[in-house]
Amino acid sequence: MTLSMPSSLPEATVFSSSSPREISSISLDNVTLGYSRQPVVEGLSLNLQQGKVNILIGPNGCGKSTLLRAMAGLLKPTQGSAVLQGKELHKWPRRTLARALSFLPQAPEVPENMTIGQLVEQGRFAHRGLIRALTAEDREAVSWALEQTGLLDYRERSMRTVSGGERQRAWIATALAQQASILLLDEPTTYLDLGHQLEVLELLQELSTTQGLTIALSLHEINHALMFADSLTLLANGKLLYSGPPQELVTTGLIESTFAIRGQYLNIPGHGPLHIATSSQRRKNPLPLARTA
Amino acid sequence: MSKFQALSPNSYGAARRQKAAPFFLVTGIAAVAVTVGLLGLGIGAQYIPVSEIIRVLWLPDDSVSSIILWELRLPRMLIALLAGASLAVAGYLLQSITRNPLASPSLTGVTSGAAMLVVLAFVCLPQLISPYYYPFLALFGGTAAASITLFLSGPTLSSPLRLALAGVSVSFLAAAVTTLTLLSAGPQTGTLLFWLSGGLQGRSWSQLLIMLPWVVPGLVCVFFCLRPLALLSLGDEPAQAMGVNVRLWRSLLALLAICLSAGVVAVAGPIAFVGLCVPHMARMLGARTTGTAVALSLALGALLLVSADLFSRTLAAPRELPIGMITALIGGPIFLAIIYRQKA
Repeated sequence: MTLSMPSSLPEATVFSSSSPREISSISLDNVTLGYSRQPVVEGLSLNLQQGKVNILIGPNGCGKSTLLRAMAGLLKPTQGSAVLQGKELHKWPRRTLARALSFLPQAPEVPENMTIGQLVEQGRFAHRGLIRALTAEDREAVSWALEQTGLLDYRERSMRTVSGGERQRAWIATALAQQASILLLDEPTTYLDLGHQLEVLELLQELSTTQGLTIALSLHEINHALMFADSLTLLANGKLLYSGPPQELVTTGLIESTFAIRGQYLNIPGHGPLHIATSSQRRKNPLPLARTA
Repeated sequence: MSKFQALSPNSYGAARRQKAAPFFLVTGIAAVAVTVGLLGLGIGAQYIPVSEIIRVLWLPDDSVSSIILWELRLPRMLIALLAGASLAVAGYLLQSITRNPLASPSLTGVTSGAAMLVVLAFVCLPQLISPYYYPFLALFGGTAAASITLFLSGPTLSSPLRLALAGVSVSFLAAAVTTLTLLSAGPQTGTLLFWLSGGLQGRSWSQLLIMLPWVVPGLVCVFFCLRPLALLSLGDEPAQAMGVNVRLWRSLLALLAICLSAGVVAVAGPIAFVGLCVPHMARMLGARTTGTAVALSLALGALLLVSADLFSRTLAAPRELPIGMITALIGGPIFLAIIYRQKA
C-alpha cells in the first residue's frame, strides 16, 4: 500500500490494488459500551460510510468519544459487536489493526523533547515493527503527512515549543503517516483557531474524495458538521437520534431539541442550510438583551 | 493548506549536527566512565602506578599488584560499571512506561522487595540456595513488590504522589520483614547487614558471574524495545492506536527493568538514587530520541557508580563508606529538585 505525494498523481487511485479499500469499513451492531457498570452507549448500530466523511455530533457526554474508542478497538463492547472486515475489532492484533485504521484521541499528551518530525515518524511503527529501519517509503509517507498538515518546515521544532495548533496538526500528521484507509479523530479541531479548524476539515474532506479514505470524527461545531459531513450522526445520552445526510437532518428539528437551543437556518449558497443559534432553551427567563434604565 | 515560512533555512545542517552530537556525547561519557574505572584500579590500600597497571593487565603474573588487580579491583570495577548502567536503564524504563518522573527501582519497591526475599532465603534456607539463585529470588521479590506498588498507584500510574506513597509503603513493609528476619538470623547478621548496606566491597569474579546473565541480555534487549518504549511515552491510547499492544509491552518492559535491578541487587545490595536520577540527567542533557536517552542513561549510570565506588573506598580510607551514601549525596539534591519542579 503506497500513498504518494498528491502532486505526483493527478487524482484518485493513490492506493495500489493490494489495498483493502473495498472492504474497509467499520460496522457497529447493537453495541453497548461502558467503562464500568454504567453504560455510556446502549444498543447502538452504525455503519461507517466507506470513503466518506462521517461526522458525530451531540451534546457533552453523549458518547461520541466512547463510540470512537470502540470503533478504534480500544474499548470492547459489553454487548453487540464492532466489526472490521468480518472480524471483531478487539480480536485484531494491534499492529495489523493499526495498518487498517488510525485513531487520534482527544488532546493527547505532549511528548517531552521530541521534534515534530520524530513524532510523525512514530506513526510508521505499524509498518516498521521493532527492527526495520526507515525505508524510502516510510520517509515519503512522513514527508507527505507533514506537507498535508503544512508542517514541512516545522520538522525540527520541538513539540514543547510549538503552539497548540501546530501540536494538534503534528498529531494529525502522525495519524496520516500511518497510512491506514480508515481515519478516526476525536474532536481534531479542539485548540485550533477558526482558520486552522477549516483547514483541517478541508484536508479531511480532500483525503476522502481523492484517496478514498473512510473518515469518522466528532465535532462540537454544528455548522462545520453540516458543511463537511457526507453522513452526519447525532447522538444524545448514548442513543442514536439520527444518521444520514446532513440536508435531511436540518428538516427534522432534532438539532434544536437535542442541544436545547433556538435559532434559525440560513441558506448559504454552496453549503446548504446552516444554523444560527440565538438563545438557549434551558433558561426559563433569559435576561433581556438590552435593558435601558 | 497555507504555506508557512521556513524558520531556519539551514535546518538540514542543523539536523545533521543534532544527529551527530548525541553519538559523541554518549561515547564521550562512556569513555570517561571507563577511564575513571581504569585510573581507579591503581588507587587503594596499595597504590599501583599506571605503568604497572598496564603491564599486569596485559600480562598477568604472580606479583602482588597483579593479584590485587585481577582478583579484587578489576572485577569490582566491571561490576560497578555494569551495575550503574543497569540501574540507570531500569530507571529509565520504569519512568517511561509509567510516564512518572519518580518511578525508579528503589521508589517502586523493587529493590526492597528483592532484598527481602534474598535475606529470607539466606536465613531460612541457607543450605538449599546457592548465590547463583539470588537473582531469581530478587526477581520474584521485585516483581511482587512492583506489582503491589503499581496496583496501588492507580489506573493511570502517572500520578507522582500516589506512586511515591505506594512505593514508600511497600518498601517500608518489605524493610520491616527484612529487619524481622535479620533479628532471628543469629551469627549471619553481620554478613547480611554488610550486604544490605549496598556496596561493592569484596565483590569479585563470582559475583560478576552471578550478575552477568541478567544484566547483559537485559541491556541488549532494551535496544530492541526502543520503538514500543517511545510510543508508550506518548500515552496509552495513542500508543495502542499506533499498533502497540500496551498491556503486553508494559508488562514486558517492567519485567525487563526488574530483571536488570534483580541482577544488581543480588550482588551489590540495594543502591538507591542511580535509577531515579540518571534518566533525568540524560533528559537534561537534551536526549531527543528514546535510543539516545537509553544510551545516555547507560553511560551516565556507569560513570556515576564507578565514580561513587571510587569515592567510597578513598574518601575515608582505609575504611570504606557505603556506596549508597555517596549515590544518595549526589542523587538526593536532584530528587528534591524534581519534586520542587513538580509543584511549580
